[in-house]
Amino acid sequence: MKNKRIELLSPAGDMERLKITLLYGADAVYLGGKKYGLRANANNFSVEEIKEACDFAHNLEKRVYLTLNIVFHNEDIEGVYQYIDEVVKAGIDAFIVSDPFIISYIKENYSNVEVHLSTQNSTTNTKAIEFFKSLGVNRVVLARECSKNEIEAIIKKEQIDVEVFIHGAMCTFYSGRCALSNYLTNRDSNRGGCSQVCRFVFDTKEYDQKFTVATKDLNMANYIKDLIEIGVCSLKVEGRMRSLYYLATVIGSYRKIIDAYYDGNLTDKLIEEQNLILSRVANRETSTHYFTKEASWNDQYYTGRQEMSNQDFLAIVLTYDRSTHLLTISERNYFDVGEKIELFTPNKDVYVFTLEHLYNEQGDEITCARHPEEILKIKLDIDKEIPKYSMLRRKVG
Amino acid sequence: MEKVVVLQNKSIDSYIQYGIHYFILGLEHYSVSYSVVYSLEKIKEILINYPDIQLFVAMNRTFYDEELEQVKDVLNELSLLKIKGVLFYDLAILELKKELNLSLDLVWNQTHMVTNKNTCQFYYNKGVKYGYLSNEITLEEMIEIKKNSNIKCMVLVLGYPIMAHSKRKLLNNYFTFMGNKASKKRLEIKNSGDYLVTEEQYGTTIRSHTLLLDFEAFLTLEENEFDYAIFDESEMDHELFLSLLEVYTKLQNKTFCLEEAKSWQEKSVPNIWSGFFYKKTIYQVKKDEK
Repeated sequence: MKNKRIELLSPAGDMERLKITLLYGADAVYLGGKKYGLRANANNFSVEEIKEACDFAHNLEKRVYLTLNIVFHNEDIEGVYQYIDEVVKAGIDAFIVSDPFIISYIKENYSNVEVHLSTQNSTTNTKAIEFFKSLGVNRVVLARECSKNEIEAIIKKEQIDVEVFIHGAMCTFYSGRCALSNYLTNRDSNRGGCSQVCRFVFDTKEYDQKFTVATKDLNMANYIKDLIEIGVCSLKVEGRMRSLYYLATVIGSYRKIIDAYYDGNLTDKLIEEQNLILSRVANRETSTHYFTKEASWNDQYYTGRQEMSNQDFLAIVLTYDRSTHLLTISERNYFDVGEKIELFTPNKDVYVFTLEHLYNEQGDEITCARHPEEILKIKLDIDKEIPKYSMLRRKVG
Repeated sequence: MEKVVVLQNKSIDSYIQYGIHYFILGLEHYSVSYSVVYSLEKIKEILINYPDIQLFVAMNRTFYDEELEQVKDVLNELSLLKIKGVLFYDLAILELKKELNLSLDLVWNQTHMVTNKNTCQFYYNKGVKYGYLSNEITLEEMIEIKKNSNIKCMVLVLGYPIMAHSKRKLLNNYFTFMGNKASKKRLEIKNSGDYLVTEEQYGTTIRSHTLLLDFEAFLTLEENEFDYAIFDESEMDHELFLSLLEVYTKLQNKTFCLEEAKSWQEKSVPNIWSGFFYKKTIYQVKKDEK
């Protein structure tokens, strides 16, 4: 709780995302298996991949949490006991669960594995937490409707690890209290099939203006200091289905903010710089929603398309040869020779340069990168290691 | 199987004639998604005036710490009344019942989460007597829960099912954005189906606005000895609701056969649906359907 350094918890939709977020500074990751998680249509992890993920993370002294947070139907219970056994043997550090029957089963049979209460339960008060504590829950992921004062009061009273969301998509409705997807698209929101009906547009009989309920994303970069000081134990980023670039950028930014706080170097300027980076990688506007006030009309969208396309992400680094100064990359978006580019690494290094020479895989000089995933080479004047999974983006600001 | 009506401030006598003796009332300040709510004083008055009826009181809101003392006080008061049970969503209520050692029966009413036999039995073992099964599971799943758990099962058989509930004031936000000073608390919306948005002090509820009605499902529940069938009058015309109650009562006491009931329904209430009684939801789509 308060004496432990705060954890930065990242989503991991697949092995590549897991490696990138851990390299970019996440202290732990949460992932879903092929069943029982609330993102049924992400790539997700087989049991073998879960073992590989745990080995990778544990070698870095980091942790892996597995989502087992669906609202179970009768047919889902069959097979879950064996699955739990397999993933415990694969080495996971905690389950994220919403069903109290499953919580109870895990704690009775696997006392060494932690159970984290999913946000799906929309837990907002100390009495509800006491109920789950009596089942052996180790950590609570609070409802996103909780304010700073409410979070602080809960931590003071309950002395249980509390995790809060800090970045990413926000549900319009209380988690677990929404079945819009079931009714409009026959896809079960509480078993991982949510089709995000909250982002649909509705007609009304009375008004020309369409009716929508979509929310802006969450961004708590300005309040990390507050969250650390009130005793939150884990800061959770949403987004198992987000891109590699999004994850690397978001985790990298929050890593910088958190480390600066503990180093005594957290300044408004640093937060502003990271907010600029976060705003560029976001595809929606952001808000802090309930943290400092009741959510209001300003926290939602009302017209047209909410997602903004982003073409800052240029390439991912495959290798860097220090002897030849050649950076080998896999392209992601179009860019030209002459553009100002920023190279950022998992080690928090950032290099800005103007692209002067660009080569194709055969070594021929070219003037632009135009084919996604094309292998290209850039000549760089950097005499330092540039690890795999470093990334290139357009320099902004 | 007892019929239970969600009370809408109409005369209780109008329901008793159809053999209805069980009612659900939304408790003022402590419930959500009830278009009519009742104060504790009003509930006491009803119990005095109608000593033979059974009342379930809904306290299905999500609570915050600053409210817990009041929740405690209300639970204490309810435990002194002759009520059948309290519908809850927030586990604080279950924890408080245990802590205060209250002789109060509880109804597990986590809207979309009452979906499997093991968890129903779990709550039963924790002292919860009733479970209000989710509308989004099939009749087959409901029957499996009934057969394999001790919890007494309640099922919605008539009404406009709740689809979602938010803490946000979605209508107020919408009208604010439009620069419209209307303070409407109710809006009908449409997107390949009709839906109803209602806003109250504690948030916004969206319901399906196509009537859930399936006589065959009702008879199947009766054959499988379900405990309570819920008739939710919210957003319905009172006279139509009473007519429907009459048909269900006749079906139950076999003075109407199924065909007669269906024939009546086709003429009187043509736009209905069977909800998820026979329709399983999916959650994994094939890659080419994404």
